[in-house]
Amino acid sequence: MKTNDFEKIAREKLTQDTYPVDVDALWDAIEPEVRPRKRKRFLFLWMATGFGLLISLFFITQKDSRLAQSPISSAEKIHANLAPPIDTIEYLKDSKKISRPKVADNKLKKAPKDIPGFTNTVKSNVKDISGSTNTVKSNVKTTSAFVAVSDSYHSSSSHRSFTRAEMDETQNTPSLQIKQEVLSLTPKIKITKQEQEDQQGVEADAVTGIPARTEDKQPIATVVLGNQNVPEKNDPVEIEEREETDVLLPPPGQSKTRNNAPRLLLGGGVHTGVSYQMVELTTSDPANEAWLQNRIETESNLEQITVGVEALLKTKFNWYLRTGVDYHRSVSQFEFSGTLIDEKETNGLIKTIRNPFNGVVTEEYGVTSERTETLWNKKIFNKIHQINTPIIIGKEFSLTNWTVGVEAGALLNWSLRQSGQILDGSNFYYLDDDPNDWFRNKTEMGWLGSIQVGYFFTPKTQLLVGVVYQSPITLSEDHNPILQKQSNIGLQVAARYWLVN
Amino acid sequence: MKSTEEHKIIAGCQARNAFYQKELVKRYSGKLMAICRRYARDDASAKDILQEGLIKVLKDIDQYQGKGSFEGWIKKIVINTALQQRSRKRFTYEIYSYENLPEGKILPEVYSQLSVEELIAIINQLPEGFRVIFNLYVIEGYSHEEIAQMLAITPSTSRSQLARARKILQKKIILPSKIRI
Repeated sequence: MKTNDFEKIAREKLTQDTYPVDVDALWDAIEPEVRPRKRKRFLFLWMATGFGLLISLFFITQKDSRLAQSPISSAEKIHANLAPPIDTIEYLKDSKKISRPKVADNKLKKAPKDIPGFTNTVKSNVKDISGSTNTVKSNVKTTSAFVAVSDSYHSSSSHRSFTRAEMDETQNTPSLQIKQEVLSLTPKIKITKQEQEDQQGVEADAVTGIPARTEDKQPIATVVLGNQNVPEKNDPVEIEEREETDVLLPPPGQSKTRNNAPRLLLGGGVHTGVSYQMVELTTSDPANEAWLQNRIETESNLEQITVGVEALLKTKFNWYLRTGVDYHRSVSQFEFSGTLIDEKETNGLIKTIRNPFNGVVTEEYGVTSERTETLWNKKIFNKIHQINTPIIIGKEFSLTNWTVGVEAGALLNWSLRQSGQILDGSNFYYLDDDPNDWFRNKTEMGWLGSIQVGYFFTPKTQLLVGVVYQSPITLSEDHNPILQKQSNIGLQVAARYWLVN
Repeated sequence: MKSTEEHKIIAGCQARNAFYQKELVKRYSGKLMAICRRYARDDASAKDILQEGLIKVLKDIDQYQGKGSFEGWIKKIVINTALQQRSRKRFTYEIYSYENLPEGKILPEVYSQLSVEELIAIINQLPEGFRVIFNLYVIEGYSHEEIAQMLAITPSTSRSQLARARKILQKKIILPSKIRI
């Protein structure tokens, strides 16, 4: 066969052929793709950052909550089984929110303005006096002996601490008269076991005569004003249920009373929603324009859902940090049609010629071709799975049980694309369902914005409805000639549970 | 038989060592680029195929069990990559047609004088589907059954398209021969 000569030479020459390649440039293009560990590490770091932040802040919250067991958030109070005190004083920092049980029959006085130079953040439960087991804790910064003025019956955390100098200073302030009030009473003093252990190297307090540490940051004494009978450790205590009307509860899940609220609230939740995808398709290859145009014209959105879990940390100013994991799935379909031409050739008898004059029959052999045309129509599915890890900052505004939240932040997107097709009437092939093509070569960054309206059904349970927008994110593989960017706008419903002490 | 150097490269690449990965690229990219040029319409597409094929080779190198020629294994991956990329762009090339060309004289003595570039130029004049099957069967040496599996077609389709390719080539070969004689 003469064609075989050509083929033989072509095979010999082409199989030995090499073509000059710029190896360095080629390697520069390949190297980032064959080192996926960095991207995985980046993904891991991103997720670890979000969750690490939450976990660390959670422990801070726990610690803070232990220190500041707020009477507002307590469901019950401990009262000594004694007559009410003659007089009690509670100074609150801003004097705006007062929370006292009625049974104590306390007289609440407006707190003086802050006196420069001292800190009024004593957080004490003083439960040794009333029979419970808590110890006095304080972060009062003082360099001299001081007295913590405390209502021990109520284990209040809203205490005021005064240094000696401050007590002297207030004597000359007619509106305050703190010193008079304090000194006119005979204070009963209890020192906790812990405090006794801590009282090494203390010096006497000038006001009370009680040993006090000069450098300690913790109160060494608790002054109970006007009590005739100070309860001993083993005295019976009565537990009184707090009535809602007795106290000024903050809005559920909120922290309005700055003095008493924990610094941070931890919450968790789930959300789900539907959305509309906005797809932007482009190509740099003009040969794909017709294909692209056809896809744009025939593409329809079949399904778009989102589900996710979230964890939140909220400050007492109602700013919050949210992170979690969202799963997002979108399915679209587009159609193509055309004609498949298949030609088959067979060697054989082509025709028989009979000479009418001599009767000789001649057979002609050769190649006969059979041409078949098949109309085909195929529907191509694009199913894209996305996993987003957002880190969002938001602010919530509250009105009674209703809230309005605005949030925005960055998200890390990882997507997995699956393609499939239905082909009618032919064996036309399509290799894009290779699993190797399902995985994208890189993760993408994007951003997210949302406005939500919420309602607290219980102090801990919040239901939200909101509109969410996700910025355009590239979802096509790097090697795909078609660049697909997709943004979403959707409606989401979320349920959150706040861990309120 | 694999050379010691080839063993080192394979082991190094399996350990994800960048030095040996680059050595592999340096060693085989010339031959692989020649293959890619036979399946691509232009050099830019050939480079894309080469790049993608080498990425697959380096990512999947753990799958190479040491049986058979390593170069053959790499070539097969690159050829498969070329076929996959062709299928992605196939939406624009799906329907091809060809002329019923008149048969001309074949001058065997000029075959040996043709350069590689001329050979590629002649083969590249074939319609897309014929060219792929011609390359796979004649140059790479795959059987019709293997080609049928690779392209998801029947072996008889592969045979008939090869026959058509040969017929077209017979016509194409005349031109350069006239120039040379």
